[in-house]
Formats: sequence, structure tokens, C-alpha cells
Amino acid sequence: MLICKYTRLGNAVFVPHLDMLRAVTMGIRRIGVKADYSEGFNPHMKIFFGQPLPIGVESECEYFCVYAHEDAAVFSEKLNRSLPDGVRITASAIADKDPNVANLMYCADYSVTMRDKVGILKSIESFCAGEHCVIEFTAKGEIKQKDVKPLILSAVVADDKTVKLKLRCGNENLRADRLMNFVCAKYGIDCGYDIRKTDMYDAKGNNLDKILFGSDL
Amino acid sequence: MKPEIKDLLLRVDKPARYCGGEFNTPIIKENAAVKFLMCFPDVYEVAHSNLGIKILYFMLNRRADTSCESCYMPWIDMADALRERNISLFSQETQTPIGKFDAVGFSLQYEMSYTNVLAMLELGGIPIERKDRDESSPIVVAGGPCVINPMPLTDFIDVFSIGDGEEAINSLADVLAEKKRIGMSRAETLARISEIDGMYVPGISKGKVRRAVIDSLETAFFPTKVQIPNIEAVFQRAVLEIFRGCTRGCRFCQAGMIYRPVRERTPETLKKYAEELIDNNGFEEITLSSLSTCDYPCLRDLLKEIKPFCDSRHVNISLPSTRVDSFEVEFVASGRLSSMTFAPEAGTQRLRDVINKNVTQDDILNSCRYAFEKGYHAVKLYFMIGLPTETDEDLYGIADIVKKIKYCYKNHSMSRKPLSLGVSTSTFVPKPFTPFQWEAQISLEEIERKQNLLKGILRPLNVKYSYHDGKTSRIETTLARGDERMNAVIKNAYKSGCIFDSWTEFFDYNKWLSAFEQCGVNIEDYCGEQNIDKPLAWERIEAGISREFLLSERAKSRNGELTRDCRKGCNNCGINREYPSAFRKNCIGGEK
Repeated sequence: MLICKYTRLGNAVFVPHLDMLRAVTMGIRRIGVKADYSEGFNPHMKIFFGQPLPIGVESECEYFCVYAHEDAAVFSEKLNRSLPDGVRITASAIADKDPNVANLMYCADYSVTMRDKVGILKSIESFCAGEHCVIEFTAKGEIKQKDVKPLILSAVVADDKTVKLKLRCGNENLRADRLMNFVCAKYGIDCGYDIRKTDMYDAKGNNLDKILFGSDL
Repeated sequence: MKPEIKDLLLRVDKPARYCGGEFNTPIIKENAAVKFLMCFPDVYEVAHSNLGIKILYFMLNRRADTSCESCYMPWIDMADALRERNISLFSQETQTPIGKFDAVGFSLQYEMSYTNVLAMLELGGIPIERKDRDESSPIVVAGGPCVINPMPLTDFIDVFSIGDGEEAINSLADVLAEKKRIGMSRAETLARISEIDGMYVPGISKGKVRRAVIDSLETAFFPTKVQIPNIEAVFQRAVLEIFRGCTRGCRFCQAGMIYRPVRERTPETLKKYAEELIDNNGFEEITLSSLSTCDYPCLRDLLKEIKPFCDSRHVNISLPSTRVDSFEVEFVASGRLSSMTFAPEAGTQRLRDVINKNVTQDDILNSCRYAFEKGYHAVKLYFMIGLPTETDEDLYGIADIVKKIKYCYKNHSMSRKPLSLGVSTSTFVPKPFTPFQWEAQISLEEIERKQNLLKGILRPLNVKYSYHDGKTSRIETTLARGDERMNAVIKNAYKSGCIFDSWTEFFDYNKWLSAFEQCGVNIEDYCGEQNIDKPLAWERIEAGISREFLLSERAKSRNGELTRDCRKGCNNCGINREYPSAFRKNCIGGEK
């Protein structure tokens, strides 16, 4: 089995999870690398993806596993010539078994880039430092309120255009876009921003790259 | 991508429909002399299932002097968002407003998409009526099977490209390039375009305009590398067009007439294309496409040739529009599908003879038996109601076929599952350039009565019965057989809110009725029987099928007389005289 780390940048942020999975599967079929398929009436390629990424959020640290019969480096080199814009394999390795990324991941780093300089950006930091962080968001057409304080591990304003967030992900998950939507509306920040997920960690604080690839890359 | 477009996309449903960046998108040449936009007046997932626009899109992009981008009908929420923010409808590839292109082409595959054409023009800030366009407006082109009757759209479309597009599109691009080079006016350009074979330019073209026909499909361009949609298309598969046209001559079928003569590709070429399609695109399924795939003489050889490669790449082969009399037995054995679809079209042999559907009940039952013995347990049957001379006896005939199939399953089933049987009916819509082009369509009351009758007789048989909405079929007839008066009706319907008419949740019959009323146009003029002694609106176009042939087919239908398959000998439909070189190359009696 091969484990691959890949990016989802640019246009690829609009592509929903299942269609991203299909895009990668089609890429593998195009390059003609032999892969294992499930048994049964309607066989599917044995390929496993991590948690879905919200539409609109870029990421440098997505992972999938596939039972493909090819050298890891050759595989990623071939596949990189056959993936849509913004999707790129950045690391690959052979694994004995599915490391179950969805289960491992505990928190993630996000870098939020404002489209303009924001003088009051520090207010985001102070909101997240409060005792309670109640945000409002719409889910399935309903407006919901939730105290997300336990899900915010850190929020730091790096400069007048950049916010660095460390948020819980996996079973207890806080979407960075939900948090940012709410605080920007609250403080009247309307210049717009782009969010990129940069790293994921397990519960002990190890970078997933270290666990999966044995180094920080 | 501009931030305002990114933010806009993040507010609408399925933004991947609009963001572009599809895999296999060709390089869009920034400095191309001619900028063409290929539009499809339905949503992204439907558009990406269409082969015609892919052929033309890649042909144009292969030209050194031309770039071609694409645009699809935005869903309601996106259309509203564009209007609200005052953003023009834009191209997929470079987010260029559609009004900035030299030419904007629409593919018209079904009549119920006409109002969407107006909607797309308006969303792009292009005047919907050609009289209001000026030197800065794109030239609005329309092609596809519907434009065989261009008359209902003459107020909106500058140029109709009638017939095969492969040669016409290149000639069109040539003229547009020249326009740019020497600075021709819009009027001059349109006049030059009207000289191209198959181009009907309202207000300029004189006399009959003849449908464009390419002599050979073997030498025609075929795209084996296609854009892979960002989200799943309705038909998400590689399409291999094995031949164009059909030799069957079913009397209701427009495609069977207006794509004549049959032009085939050789198995060698098809094998090469199949492998390229699989290598370049990565689809899970490849379909051998045509109007009647099982009539392809080398189908067995072709399947044998491509199957090992498909198997090794885990690609399924599918055959569309399987005719009951030519169901590929061997293929059933190796296919992975569980359901098969037959279209007997009519419930009794008498009526099948009237429509020249050369299929018997034994053919259907034999095919079912083979399939059941191979483990199939689901059958879908398509019928038409309201065919000329139909009586209730023909509807009872449908129930009769259903009963026999159930009995056949009982005796021959290899599956432990219960038989799943579905019957679907559509209403006969008389179409231009068919032997039934003069026929009346049955009234809405009669449509609904027949549907209810079928519901009643099929219910005790434990069959899933579904049917097309009769009101849609009525409007479809008015658009299919429309004359120039329909322009006003279409505009009125659009202005009153008609859009996405092919989607049942949007189709609004009452708005259409009031459009007819306000324009003083009588629906019965189009749905009623047409006068044989008068020229028909669409006879402005020469489709290559002679009026005499159509009339004689109509007369034969009344006597239940059959006409043989063209592959068994020429029936003298007119193609032989109108397109002698295509005839010689492709038809029996001509030299290969």
C-alpha cells in the first residue's frame, strides 16, 4: 500500500470531497498503474481518503492511501502529470497497513490571509482568548450557536494580514471558515480572506508527516 | 481567479460547476485572433454528457488562430447571484464575460432548452434579439439537431449551423479570422458566413439552405482527450461514436432521418480511439455510441478487439439504445450491468408496423430469455403513446408484453432476486423531416386519459410505471414544429419567467399558455394536423430527405406496410440525389 500526501490549492478548493476522490482515481487509471480493486459485482479501486475538507479551504496536507503496485517515488511522479490543477502529490511512501489518518488527526494549523491590511485584526486574537467563544453559523439551513472555545488551541495574529490558527479536527472538529466568517462579521472586517490548512498533528502533538513519512519533510 | 468571483462561487451550490480548471483543458491562447465561446443551455453536468460540443471545442482549439472557451447555463442561485452583483456571465476557462467573445455558439439538443438560451444571453449582457446587436456584440450561432427547424428562433440567433458541424465550424472560424484581419463589418461578416455550406443566416440567406453533411466519419476529427468535469456528469463515461445516422427508418424518429446517410468508422480506427480514450481520460466506462449501436456490422469484432484492453484497465463497456432484435448475447454474458433497456415503442405488432419499428414480440422475449439466463433481473421498457392510429387495444398490448416477460422470467431466471420491471411512456411529438411531420399530436385530455388507463392496467401487474408530463410534450411540439410566430411566444414566455423548461420543477405550463394568448398564437396551429398541400415552416431548410419519400412513408404507415433497413438496399429517400458523394461512400449501392 502507498500513502500519499497531496495539496488542494487554487481551483481545486471548489471540488467536493467525493469528486476529488474520483479525480485521483481517474488519474491513477490514466497513468495505467496497476491497483487493487474490491471484489464483487461492481469493483472499486481500493483507495482511502481522510476527512472531507470544507469547500473553499486550501490545504497543503491532505492524505490518501491506495493499493497500487508501483514504487512510491515513481508513482507520485507519474500521477503528478495526471492530476487536475492545484492537486499535487508532495510525499509518498510504502506503508504496511492503512494508517487511518482520519483516526490519527487531532488538530490542524491554518494560515488565514486577509485580502487587505486590517488594523483591528488583533480583535480576532482577543475573541479567541476569551473564556467562551460562542459563534453562530448556518448548518443545513439552520442558524446554530456553539461555544467553540475548547476547539481553539491557539489563534495568533502574525502581521496585519495574517492569522495563524490551531484548531481541533477529526471527531471534535472546528471549521476554520466558520470561525473566520463569524469573527469577521462580528468585527466588521469585510475585505475577504483565504484560508489554507498547512499541517496536521496527532493527539500527542506529532506532525502527521513524521508519523507517516518518518520526517517533517 | 479574481477574489470577487471566488467569493461569489463560495456562496452558490456546487461551485465546481463554474470554476473551470477541468483536467485536459487545452491551453487557451491569449492572443488568438478569433475568440469563440461554446455554450450549452443546460447545467454543467448535462453539458458534459454531450459529445457534439466536445468535438467542436477541441477542433477550434487546435487551430493556431482560434481559442475556444465554454459556458453552461448557471443554476438559478448562480444566475440570481450574478444579477445581484452585476457580474456578467463568464467563460469557464478564463472567466471572461461572454459578451467579449467574437462568436458565441449554442448547442440545441432539445427544444425545451430554448428559453435558457435567452437567459444566458441576457446574463451576459448580449441583446437577446439580433436586431438590437451592434458591431461590438458577439455573433450568436446555434447548432445541434433542433436547428433543423430554425424558424422559432430567427429573432434571437444570427447564424444557424445546420447539419454536421465538423467542416462548418472551420469555415466559420476562417470568416471570423478574416473579419478581424481586414476589419469587416458585422453585416459583411454575416453575408460571408451565409455562403458557407449549411449556414442559415436569417434576413440574408436566400432560397433553401441545405443541411451540411460530411462525406466520411473515418477522416473526421474525433476528440479522444476530453475535459474531465469537476463534478460527476449525468453520463460520466468515455464516448466513442462508432457511426452517425441510422438505417432503420422508424417513422417517428427525427434523428433517424436528419443524420442520414449512415457513416461508419472502421473497427481499426475505433480500436485506436478506444485505447486513446482510456489512456487520456481515465473513465470507468466506455460507451459505443450511435443511434443504433447493435446495427454496426463489425460490432462483435470490435468488442472482441477492445475488451482485453478495457478489462486490464478496469473499464466497463456499455452499449446504449440496445434494440431488442439485436441484443448482443455474448455481451450480456460478459457485461457487469444488471439491468437492460428495450424500446419496443408500441404495444402491438400492428402499431409497430405503422411506425416501421421492425421488432416482434418474439424478438423481445428471446432477448429477455437470453438475458435472464445470464442472470439479469431488471428490465426497462420504453413506449410512446399517442402514435398515429393508436387505439386502446395498443395500450392493452403493453400489458400483454409485460405479462409475457414476467412469465419468461419465471421460467428462465437464473437470479434469486425478484424481477424488477419498469415501463416508461413518453408522448409522441411529431417532428420536422419525419414521415409523421404532418400528424396531429393527441390532446392533453387524451394524453392524460391514456396515462391513467395504463396506470390502471399496469398496477395489478406490479410494474413501476412512469410517464413524461403531457403538458411538456404539448409545448415541445409547438417549438419543434414552430414557425416564425413562435419567436414572440418564446420571448414572452421567457420574460414571464419560463426557464429550465426541461426540468419538471421549473416547467410552468400556464405561463406558456398565457404567452400564446398574449401573442395571439394558437397552440393548435402546431399541435394539430398539418396541411399536406402547404409548405411547412421548416421546408426553408433542405434536409436531404425528399418530400415524396416522406409522403410515401406516411401512406405506407397507414397500411402497416414496412420499409426495409437501408443496409439491405436503398429506399431512395433522397440522400442519393442530394448528397451523391456521401451516398457513394457510405450507402449500399454506392462504392465503398
